[in-house]
Amino acid sequence: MVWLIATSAVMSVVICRDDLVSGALDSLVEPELQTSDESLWIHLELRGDEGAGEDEGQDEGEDEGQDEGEADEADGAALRDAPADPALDELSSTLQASARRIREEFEEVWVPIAAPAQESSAWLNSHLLYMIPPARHGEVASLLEPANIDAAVAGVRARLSSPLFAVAGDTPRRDPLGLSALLGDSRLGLRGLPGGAEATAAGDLRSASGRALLLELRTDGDPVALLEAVRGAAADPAIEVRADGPALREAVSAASVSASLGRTLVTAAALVMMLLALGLRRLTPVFVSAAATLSGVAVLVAFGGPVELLVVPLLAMMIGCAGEGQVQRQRQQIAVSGWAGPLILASALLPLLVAPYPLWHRWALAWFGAVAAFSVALRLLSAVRGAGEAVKATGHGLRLRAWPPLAVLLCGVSLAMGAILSERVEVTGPAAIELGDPELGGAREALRRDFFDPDALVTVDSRGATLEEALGRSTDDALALATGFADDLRRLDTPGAFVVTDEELDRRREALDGLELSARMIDLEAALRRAELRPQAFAEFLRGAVDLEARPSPETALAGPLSGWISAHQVAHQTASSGGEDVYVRSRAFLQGEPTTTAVLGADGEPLTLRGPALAEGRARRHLRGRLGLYAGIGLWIGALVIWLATRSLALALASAITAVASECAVITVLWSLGIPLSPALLPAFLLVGAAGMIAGGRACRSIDRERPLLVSAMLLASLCQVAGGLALVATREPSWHAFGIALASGCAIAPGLGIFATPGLYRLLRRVLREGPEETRR
Amino acid sequence: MNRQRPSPPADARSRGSTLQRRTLLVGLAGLGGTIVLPRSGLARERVIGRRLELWRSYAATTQNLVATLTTTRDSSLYADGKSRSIPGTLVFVAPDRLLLHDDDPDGSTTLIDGPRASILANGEGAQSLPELRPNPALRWLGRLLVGAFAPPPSDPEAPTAFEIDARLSRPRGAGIRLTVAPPQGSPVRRVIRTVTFSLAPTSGAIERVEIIESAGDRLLLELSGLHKNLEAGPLAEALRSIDPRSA
Repeated sequence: MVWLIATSAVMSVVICRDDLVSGALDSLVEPELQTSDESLWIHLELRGDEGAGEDEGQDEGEDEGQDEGEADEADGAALRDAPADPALDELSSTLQASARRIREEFEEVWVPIAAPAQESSAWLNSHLLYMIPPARHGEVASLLEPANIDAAVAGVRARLSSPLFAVAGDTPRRDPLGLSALLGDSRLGLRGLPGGAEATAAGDLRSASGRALLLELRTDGDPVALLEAVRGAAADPAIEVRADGPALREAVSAASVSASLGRTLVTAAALVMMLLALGLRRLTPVFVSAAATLSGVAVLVAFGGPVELLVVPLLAMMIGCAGEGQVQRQRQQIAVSGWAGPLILASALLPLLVAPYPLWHRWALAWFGAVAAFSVALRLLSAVRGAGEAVKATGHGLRLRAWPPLAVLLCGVSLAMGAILSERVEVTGPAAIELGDPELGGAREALRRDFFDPDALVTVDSRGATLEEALGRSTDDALALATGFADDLRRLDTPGAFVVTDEELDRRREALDGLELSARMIDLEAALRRAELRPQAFAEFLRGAVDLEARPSPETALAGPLSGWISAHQVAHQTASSGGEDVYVRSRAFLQGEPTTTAVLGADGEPLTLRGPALAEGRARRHLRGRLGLYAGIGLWIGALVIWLATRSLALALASAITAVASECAVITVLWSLGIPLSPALLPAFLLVGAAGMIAGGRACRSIDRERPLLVSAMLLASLCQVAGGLALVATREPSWHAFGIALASGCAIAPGLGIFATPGLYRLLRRVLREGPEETRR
Repeated sequence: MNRQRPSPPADARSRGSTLQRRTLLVGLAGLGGTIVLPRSGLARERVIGRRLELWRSYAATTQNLVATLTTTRDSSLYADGKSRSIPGTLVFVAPDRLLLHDDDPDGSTTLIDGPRASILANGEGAQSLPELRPNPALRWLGRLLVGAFAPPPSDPEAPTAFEIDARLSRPRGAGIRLTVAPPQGSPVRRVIRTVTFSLAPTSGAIERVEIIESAGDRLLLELSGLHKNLEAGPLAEALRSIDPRSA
């Protein structure tokens, strides 16, 4: 009755909860590194050879017509180096037409990823000299010397006869003196990595191959419905539409958990129940075990919180461990003591309390409560009609032979392999969670290939009392990002790269006034005439360079053609302390792989508040190997203490601990051999294998201590229940569950083997070393 | 019981015959289209194939090539808006080295050596670009220009330099010409619109290369006095006289 009331109460709490299932994927990321990103990246790509096929099908006369038309417009076109006719490109390209339809239909949620090409080029042309950092003003002065002007103009004139003139990478019409080469780090924020993806006229990104476009939509609505609507809008069989983004991944993750949770748990329960029925040859304990397991799982979910993708394996594991507990209750001959086994299992995840993963803090405590609840429920239910009474052993008893050389060999090999391979096994961080959805996987792969790694995104929010002030602050932050991530940066998306603060503009103005720009431009014009070149063709530069009244200040930028793009970087407040008054401008650094640094100093010498999974990933990769030993060590210490308290034998506790660590090393060997990376998501499996090894070792030693044969069939049945929990996960399509299941099943299969063959020898050896007597002499 | 079916009204009859005629005409047009259109496409493919074969017959044996070059550029950058012609020399050395040298001291020497390229000003004081920064347009044009003079792949099924990452067509009008354009959507299109090669009708040698740039400029390379597969001595002499790096 007590069980019924308690379990019903917990179950009703669980069922009535609104957030029973969650798609969160960043719960392992430290809170200070989590970022609120609502981006949905839409990747449009020409299928197969559609582009080439379409071109070949065109009438060749069309080309001729286009060329003639453009030749007629040569004068106008010659004044710009960017696309000769972007409107024509827009219309003629299938890809761009689809992108345009999406932009038009989803105008409210579409945001430009990069500064629109035409507007940013015009902005740079108008403010080139102001954008050059003061440290390079000496080089500017050198380039403006009459002799260097003559050399530059003669060079342009000479290069005109080369067939490579247009593809040389410089922009002689816009910048005949090559001043833009002095932009330095800020250049990356303006145009991205040379040779990589480029901004389109609208502000989307075009891949280096030209076959793919990337659009960004931001919404707090249903990303799956939005993606379907986008596919409908693209409506071109020649275009493949893929999508990725945190919100979409979370939606897919939630759908996967909802769809697979019941099936996975039922599979695990069915396997365990079948094993118990076959092993125990009685049905009553099976039903009792099922009821007690229900209590354990209910408590686990009630205290753990919403069921997320990474948590489902724990529920399956709970079912496996419940089966193990019931076997021990039914075959008490194998128990270390009445309470040691359940206590070791319950405390198995407690080492995660010192780990920097918020999700595991909650679930480690919930696991403790769940195992405790299961044990109590099992005891209560077993009292009914004596269902839990230990029955006479029916399996084969094996009198273990203590053979120290074999024990040392087995444990030595396992420990050595683990020590060596722990340095070689691939380690991933908490952010790199692969989802089983093939469509999402394809989108992510395409995004990485053509543009950037969405996991390697770092953001910084610049705060100000007004948008202008925040924008000014973002100029310093943009420079700090560009210099701090110099080796890792592929693209910097920040409006701060386009503006200079008023104080800095005043300083630069003073320096530029000393260059006598008007006189230098007269020299340039004269040099152009001497070289028989037409100064009007360079008019944009000649006018823009002298006009120092056009200042690239935050106010000018917000009033100019870039204002729409800049406004897209304004984000909602993130801290309550701001009082709801401040404005934030977000800058995004797209990195290449794992960043070499996780701390960047701002202009005031204080570290910038950086956010993003890439930072957590980098930090975790560097430290997980070292921390793994710490977590395993804490787990072993707790387990050994429990065994010592139960048996008062230091040799027994140490032998069990060595068995446990050998089991954990065996798991590392399995992971390495199967190419499965070690990640924070696998830590519970790793620790549970350690606990299983500890219990298996304790059981083996206990049978020697009591000078009784070990009931091998019961020991194997107990392990098989845990293995069944792992196998239920291996059968799923989610890669993270699959990896967890393999680690768990292999570890729990190896642990009893080590317990039977290695632990007795170790125990004898340790007893000899510690000069420990038999059980009765220790009490 | 001789029930006579009522005859349809006259306008309905005429509408029926109109519909039948229209159906017939549409059907015939469709039939003609299905026969003629693929044939015109096939004819175009055949012409391009023949021109490629002609080019192959000349280029297949090219180990080196020295030719007199006239470079003409139409550009809005020139003071009077007119074109400039400069005499010079073109030297190709298999597999992938191409030099274009202007005889004028105000001109330049262009070197394409595999993936590397440079434009060196002939004049003392003029600024050179000794190592061009790789970019998609440079790679595309450099590979095309070198490939146009280099021997084609030995496998006849393998694509030639005119066909890799490009669309190939035959321009209308007189002359045996092949027009190569960057694929649609390619960033190269923002710089280069088309490159047209004119072949000698009998030998298949390249006589003219016309580059139409997207900014509106037009560059014409006219080749004459072609000498193929020179002995090592004369070739070294030709290279020494034009290659600035050999100085």
